Amino acid sequence: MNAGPALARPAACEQRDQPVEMVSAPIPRRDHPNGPVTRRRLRRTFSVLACGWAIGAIALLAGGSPALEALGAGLLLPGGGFVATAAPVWAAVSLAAFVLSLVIYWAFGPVLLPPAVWIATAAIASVTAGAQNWQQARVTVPAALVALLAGGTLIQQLVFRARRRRGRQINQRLAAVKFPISSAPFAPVVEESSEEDLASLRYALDLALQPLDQWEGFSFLDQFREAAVRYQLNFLQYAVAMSQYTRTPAFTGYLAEAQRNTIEKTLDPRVWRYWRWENLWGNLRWEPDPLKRDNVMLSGYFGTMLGMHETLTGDRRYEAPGSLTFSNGRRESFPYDFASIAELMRGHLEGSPFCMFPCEPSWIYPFCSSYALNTVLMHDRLNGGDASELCESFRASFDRDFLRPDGRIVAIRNGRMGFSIAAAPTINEAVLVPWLNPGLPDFAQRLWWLMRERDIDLNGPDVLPSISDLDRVDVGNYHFGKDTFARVMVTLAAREMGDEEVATAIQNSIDDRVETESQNGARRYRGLSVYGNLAHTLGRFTRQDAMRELIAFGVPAHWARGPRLAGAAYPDVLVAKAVTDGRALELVLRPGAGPVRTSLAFERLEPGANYVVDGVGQQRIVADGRGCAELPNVDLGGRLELLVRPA
Amino acid sequence: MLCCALLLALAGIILRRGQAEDPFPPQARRVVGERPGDWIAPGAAFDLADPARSGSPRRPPRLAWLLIVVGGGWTLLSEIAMHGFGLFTFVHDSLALDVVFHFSGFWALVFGVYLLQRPAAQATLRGTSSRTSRETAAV
Repeated sequence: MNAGPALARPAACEQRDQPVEMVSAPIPRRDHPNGPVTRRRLRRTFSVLACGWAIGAIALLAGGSPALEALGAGLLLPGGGFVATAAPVWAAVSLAAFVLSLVIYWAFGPVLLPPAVWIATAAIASVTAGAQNWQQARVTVPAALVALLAGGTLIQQLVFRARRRRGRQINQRLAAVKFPISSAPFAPVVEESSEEDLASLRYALDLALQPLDQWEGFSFLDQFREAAVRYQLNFLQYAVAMSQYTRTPAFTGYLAEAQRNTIEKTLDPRVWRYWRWENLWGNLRWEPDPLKRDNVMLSGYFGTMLGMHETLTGDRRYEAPGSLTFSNGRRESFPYDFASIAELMRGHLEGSPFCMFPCEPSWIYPFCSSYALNTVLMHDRLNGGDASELCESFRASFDRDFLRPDGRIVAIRNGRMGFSIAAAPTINEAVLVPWLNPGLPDFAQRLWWLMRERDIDLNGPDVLPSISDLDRVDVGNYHFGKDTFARVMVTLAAREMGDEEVATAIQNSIDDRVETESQNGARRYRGLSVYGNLAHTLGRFTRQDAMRELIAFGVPAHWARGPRLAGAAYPDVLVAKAVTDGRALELVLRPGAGPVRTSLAFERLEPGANYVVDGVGQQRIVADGRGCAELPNVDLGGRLELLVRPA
Repeated sequence: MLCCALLLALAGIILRRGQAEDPFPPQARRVVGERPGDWIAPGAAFDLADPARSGSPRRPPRLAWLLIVVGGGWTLLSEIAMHGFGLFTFVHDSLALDVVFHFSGFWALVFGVYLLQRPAAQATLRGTSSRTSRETAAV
């Protein structure tokens, strides 16, 4: 293992001519295994359970009929009724059915399923009870329940104390660490895309530039869980947007169109109509509107797409009322826009005692709620609001109810009942790092510091040696056994943290393990899901604090007003770099389909002004009254540098 | 039995579909409009010569759905008839009758699920032709 302090952020922000504040980020002290809101939820849950147990105990011990005893035993524990009727196989089946119902509850949210299965097994045991029960069950079943509760409490206390000890040790080391918190950069770093970068981007562009009703190359497995097409659209837009931010901020053209397409494809009913069923069986409400309640797995991610698009392109079309209407072509039509979605996200966050809200009914994932926070951050930045108070509420809630005493996170918590369940730790924490960096940068950096300390080994044969079995899944296609998806997510986190050493090592480990395949100049990893490939593309274009800058600070003023490349043919012209200093435009172009004579279109030039284009024999162009101009007959045979500057 | 079969079938469909390779998307094409920044509507510039590439996703095979609905329905009805109302219980006396009469619906259901998750059906479900990416590249 590599102890982290000196290595946590090797490429510090101060190297980039950027104001930096150095802060400490100790793990908050905890005196109780659960936070206050969680404790209230747990108390409520156990009160309801205690009522059921009391009824069961009375029925079991009151000396009634065998059927009543079996019902009582069944209410004490799932399968307890069959223990009373001396049917151990059915007791095991009942227990398994109850566990399965919990899994289905977690996956799809049907809130009544677990209690229904529990009560049904008790009722079936009661109906099938014979003339004589197994008398020992009157002691065995209640004793098993007491042992279970006592054992659970004991284990929870032991684990809590061990984690608190570990947290104290970590805090001693963290005391010597200062994390650099960057502010808005004067001139964000823009690099030139390599040929590999462009091949990866072409995979994303070919997906995104399809007609709106065409879905080739997308994966349709189910629309409820992680393989749902909405996540493919989300990461498709994020990847293209990030490529624009770090490589071609002064190019809109087909990059902007690709982003608009992903946004408008999200309005397709195939993407969002799953919610009516999930809302029905999870919240017991018939409300097909996909954004009104819960469902941050759609709304938060979608809002982040909108914010990135508007930030980078300056295109405010989705601010218009009703510009984002979820309609299924029948009577149902739910008009939204960026402002109303951001307002909804703020309301959901502020209205929840956890300051987070569920994906599937009941189930809160902090990283999904971080997208809702980022939606509000971007909308407020673009429209003059202030989300700092919300960020602090989010942090306070995280510290209280979603952070373990050793600094690791609770990835999934049931918001109704309070309990949490185990989840893929590496994937969940790696996903959080880049998306928390905009609003809670010290939190994100501490999380990365802990991940680096626990999970990363740069000196061993594998850079991620101790990845858990839970992380060996590609959530984009439910393939089990491979950890490529987890590696992709860790690469993304490392890049955002500026830990290029780790990012490169993990990237190399992916390249060693997974074949790539190419078609028409587009490249992807074979066998990795669409979601995984697009997350990889996002990671490829991310650099230190890129997500933070893009979401929290936006683009600098000279980017927002300077000339930009507005038109280039695809795939004839691949734009490897496009950046403006406010007056001139620097471009690096590559041919995408062999040597070609093509034209380029520019916008936001000074109306009526003359410009010289260096790189094509100092051609001159004149901007029209709208500040637009076209440069015809550009011969593109290889890498071509152009500089469009005022004459 | 029916619930288990449906759950297994659903899980089978999802996991089996997940094992199929995702096709590469067709190469997109865009040209510079006559006026700077005047971009053609999404899809207008697409090469629509290959009809398999155009239009919205086609429906999955009807036979598969027919087998699933009829087979599932028959299984459900026969279960209710036998175990709920005690009808036709004599079929349990003979394995042959059991297989033909009682389980025929179940096997139809299973076969329907099999048809649905075949690679060719997968391609149809995804709105693609059954042509592989390599064949597409060759074209």
